[in-house]
Amino acid sequence: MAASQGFEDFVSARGQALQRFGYLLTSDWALAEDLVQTAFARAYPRWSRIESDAPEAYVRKVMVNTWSSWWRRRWRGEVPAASLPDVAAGDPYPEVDRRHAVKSALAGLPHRQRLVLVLRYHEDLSEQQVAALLGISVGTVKSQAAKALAKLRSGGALDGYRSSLAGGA
Amino acid sequence: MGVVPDEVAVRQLFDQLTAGQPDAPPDRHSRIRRRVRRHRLARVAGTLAVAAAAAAVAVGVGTSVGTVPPATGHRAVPAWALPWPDHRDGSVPQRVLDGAVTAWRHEAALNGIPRSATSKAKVIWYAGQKVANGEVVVVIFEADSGAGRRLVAGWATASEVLDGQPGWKPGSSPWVLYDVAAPKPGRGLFVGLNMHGTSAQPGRNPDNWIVVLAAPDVERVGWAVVGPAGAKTTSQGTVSSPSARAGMSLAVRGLVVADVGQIAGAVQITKLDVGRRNVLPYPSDVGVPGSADSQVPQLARPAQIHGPRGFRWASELTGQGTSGTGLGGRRGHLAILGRCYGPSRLRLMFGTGAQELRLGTIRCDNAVHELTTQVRLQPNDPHAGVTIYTSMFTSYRLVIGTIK
Repeated sequence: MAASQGFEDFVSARGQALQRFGYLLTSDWALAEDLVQTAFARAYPRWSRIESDAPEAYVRKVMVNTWSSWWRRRWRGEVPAASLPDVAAGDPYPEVDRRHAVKSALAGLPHRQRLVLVLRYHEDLSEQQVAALLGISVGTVKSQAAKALAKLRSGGALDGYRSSLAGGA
Repeated sequence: MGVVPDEVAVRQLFDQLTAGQPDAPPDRHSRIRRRVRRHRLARVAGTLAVAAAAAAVAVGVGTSVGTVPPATGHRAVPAWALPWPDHRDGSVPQRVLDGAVTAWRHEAALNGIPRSATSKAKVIWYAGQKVANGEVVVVIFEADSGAGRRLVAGWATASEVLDGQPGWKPGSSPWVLYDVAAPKPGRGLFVGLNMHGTSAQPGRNPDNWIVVLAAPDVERVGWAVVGPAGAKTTSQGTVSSPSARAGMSLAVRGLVVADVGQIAGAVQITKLDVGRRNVLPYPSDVGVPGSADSQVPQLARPAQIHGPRGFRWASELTGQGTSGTGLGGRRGHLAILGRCYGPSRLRLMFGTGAQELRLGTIRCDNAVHELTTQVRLQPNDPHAGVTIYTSMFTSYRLVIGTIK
C-alpha cells in the first residue's frame, strides 16, 4: 500500500511535467498523455525496485523508447515545413500562425535531433545524461544539438524569441 | 559557462509551445492502474484471443486470421484497423473513389514508397460520398500496404472528379489527401477534414465545411471557430472585433458533416458526446491525427480579377498564408492587383534577402485593390520576385503584371 501511495504521489507530482516532455516529442497533447500513461504503466509493476533510484529517469527513458518505436513505424510521408510569417504591429492573428509554424519546425527536425534538443533544453539534462539515456556518445549529443539549433535558426523559428531577448537579456 | 542566445531562445520556444497544456486528467492514476490490469489480462488471455479471432467472420476485407468479429451490426475489420462502419452511401461511383486510391499510390511513390508496396494494398473504406450540398467528395480509408498501415483522408471538388476525370495525372491531382500512420483505435479519436464549398451567396465567399468521423457510438460533436472580424462600436469608436461561433452537430453512427460558415481560424472539436458523457480528452483542431497540415482549413479562392486597360498580365498567384513567386524575364513598371479575405492583410515585398523592398499592403475586405509600385522590372534581374506575408487563414488572389 505504501508503494502504491508513493507511485500515486509521483504521478501527481511529475505527471504534468512529463506530459509537457511528451508533447514536445509528439506535438499532440492526447498522444503525449498516451505516452506518459504507457510509461507510467510500465513503471508501476516495478515501482518498489525503481522508487529509490531515479524513477523519473526510468519513466523518461521508457517514454523515449516508446516514442522512438512509434516513430520507426511511421512513413515520413509528411515533411512539415513552415516559413514564418512577418508579425505586423497590432495584428494579433499572426501569433497563431507563428505558433503553428514553430510547432511544424520542431516536428520537421529529424527524430534524434528533436530528442536531443528537448532533452537538453527542456528537460535540462547534461550532455552526459543525454548520451547515457540515448546510448550515444557525448560528441554525438553535441553535434545533434548544434545541427538542430542551426536548422531552427535558419528556418526562422528562433527569430521571435531572440529579438524579444535583445532588449532585456 | 556563459549562456548562448540560441539556447535561451529555444528554451523560451519550448515554454511557449507548452503554455497551452490542458489540466491533468483527474483520474490519471486510476487509468494507469487499469492499463496495467488490462495488459496482464491480455497476456494471460492471449491464446484465447487468437482462437476467438480465428473464428471471426471477415466481411469485405479478406479472410486472414486476426479480424475482429462483428458486433452490434458493425462489419469485421482487421485488428489493426478502426472498428468503425463503412459510411459510403452510393452517391459517388466506386470508380471515382478508386481514383482517390490511385492518387494516394502516386503521391506515396513521390514520397519514396514504391508502387509495388501500395499496388496490392487492402483498402478498408470508412467514407466515400458527396457532402457540402453535393459540391465536395470526401474519402476516408485505411490501407495495409507493403510499407505499413496507413490512414488516408481527403476531398476533391465534385465537379473535378465526377465527370470521368482521372484521379491522378503527372503533375496534378484533383484530390487533397492526407496520409498518416494508421492510428490505434482509442476513446476520443476522430478523423477530421476541413474543406470548402464552391457556391456562395452574393457578396460572400463559399462556406467552409467540416467532416468528422468518430466511433459509431458518438452521438453529438461540438465544434467552435473564430469567424471574420466585424465592426463593433465601443467608447473608443468603431473597432474590428473577431466573432466566435460554436455549434453542436448530430452524428450518424459517428459521422458528422457540418457547415461552419465563414471562418478566420482553425475549427476546433470541443466535444464528442456518447450519451451524456464527453469522451474527448482535450479540445482538438479538426484534422487527421498526425497531420498538422490538415488542421489548416482550406479556404476558397477569392473571385477572379480583371486587369484595367494598359495592364499587362505576368502571373497570377492564389493561396493562403505566406508565399511568393518569381518574375524572371519581365520588363516594365510593376503593378499588382489583389483581392483577399481573412483576418490579416497582405504585406507585399519585392526581391530577396538584403535586396528585399517593401511594396505595400492590401486590405483583405474581398474587394479588388491596386498596388502601384516604384519597381521597374528588368529581364535579367535574378532577384525579381514578389513575396506575400499574411496569415494562413487569409485567402488571396493576386494578379501581377506591368503597366506603361
